[in-house]
Amino acid sequence: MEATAAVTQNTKTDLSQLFRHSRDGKIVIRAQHDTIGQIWLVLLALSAIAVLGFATFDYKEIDLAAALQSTFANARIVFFKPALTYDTALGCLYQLLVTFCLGALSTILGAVAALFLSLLCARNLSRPSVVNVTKAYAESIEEMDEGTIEALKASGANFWQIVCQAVWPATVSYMVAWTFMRFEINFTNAVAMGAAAGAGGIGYNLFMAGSFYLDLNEMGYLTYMIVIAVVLLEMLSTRIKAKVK
Amino acid sequence: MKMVKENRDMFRERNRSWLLAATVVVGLYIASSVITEFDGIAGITAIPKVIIWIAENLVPDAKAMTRLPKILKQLWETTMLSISVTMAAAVCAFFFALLGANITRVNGIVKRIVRTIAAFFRNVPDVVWAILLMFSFGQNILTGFFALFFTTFGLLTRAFIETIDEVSASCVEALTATGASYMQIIFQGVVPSAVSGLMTWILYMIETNIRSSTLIGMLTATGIGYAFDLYYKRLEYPTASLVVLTIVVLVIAIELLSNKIRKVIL
Repeated sequence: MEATAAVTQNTKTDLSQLFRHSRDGKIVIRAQHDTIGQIWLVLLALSAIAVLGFATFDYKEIDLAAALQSTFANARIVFFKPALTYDTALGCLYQLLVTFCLGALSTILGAVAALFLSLLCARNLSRPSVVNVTKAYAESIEEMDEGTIEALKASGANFWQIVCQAVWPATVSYMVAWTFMRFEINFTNAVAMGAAAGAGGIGYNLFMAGSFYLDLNEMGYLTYMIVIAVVLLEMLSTRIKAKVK
Repeated sequence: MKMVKENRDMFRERNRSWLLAATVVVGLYIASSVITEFDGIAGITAIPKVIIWIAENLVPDAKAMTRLPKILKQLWETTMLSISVTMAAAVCAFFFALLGANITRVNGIVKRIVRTIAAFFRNVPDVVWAILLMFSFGQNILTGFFALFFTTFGLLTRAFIETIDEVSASCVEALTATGASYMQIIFQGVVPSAVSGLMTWILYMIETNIRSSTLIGMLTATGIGYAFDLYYKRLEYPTASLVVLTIVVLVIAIELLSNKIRKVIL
């Protein structure tokens, strides 16, 4: 009898925890209501900042219509009449390769460092014991099934055995996906660095064509090369990701 | 007995593909090093020297500190620019995404056109836009604005299309069954179920745009990127390093803030 009462009491508290009640005791049936409200609040705040931004920017009395019109005319030359005058096609391809290699080097070095650091950071590989990819790696390690690590620990496996036999196979597909995403970003960053800082590669050619020779046709040619390279990289990474999964 | 053999085959297969992957990565590293004339060992051994150089030259001094208000003003401009660009691009991208998503599209042709436009703006680097806009807009904040707007618009359209398709398929079906109109489906079904996903992408783009606008600023001579470029080329390293420090603090602050927002809304 007492036991039943206790059970009823339990169910009652559980139910009241499941539903939220309004002030007059009715059950609130709109789930997630608060969350949606908060999202709108954040969106509203960001929009307000954006409007404030537009209102306070120093536009230096620019003639917007005329500027847009001439930009449109320039864009037509860039995208519809690409041609080379100062560089050769082969030279451009080589510079593209340099940019590709810069992206690859930074990604490989970053990934190797991040891999080891993430093993030390991930909390479920607790062992007495520092950038973007590290965080992603550590998170993908923490997401994996605890049971596998437990089982290996119970059978007396050491840290490196756990890493090689359990952690690595289970998390490699996440890591490959993250690394490739980073590689694509690093490639476009390498283009930007070449243009803004003169760091070499196709970005520097782009900067010279646009800001030094003022040659729109050449800019168009280089732009198409970069776009094709980016699209090819994207296709490659999709294929490799599918294969690893 | 057969299972043991199959297992062994599986392990051999796995080892072979690891070996292949490792060879490709090592090969790529060596080839890249040769082409870019990068010496990995020299790079690592130079790190102590770099640290000493930074400690000697890149410490903000009293003169740098007097310029702090000016730097903060530029930093403020860059932050405002990133948020304004992202919000403006998000509004445009949202309407484009409705036309491009499988479940809310008007028809197949419009969907193709929208996706092609998005792919075009996404894949043309922001640097190209910046140089192109410089011809007509000159050293104006609008140069950076449009350059970032185009790439952000392309990226967000694709991300929004994916979010809408992923999240709201079942509720659109349910609403269609009840006879709801297109506008009712969008505002009662698609928007509420996709808004947290869209929000996450907006926050991500604000973070990315703060970094990008710094780099674009160097090209278009506006904002904090220009401040850094100016002091760096005048060889005023203490002030340049103060600029870098303020950018770092800003990026970390924005990241912490958006992580907090993400935790609340998801």
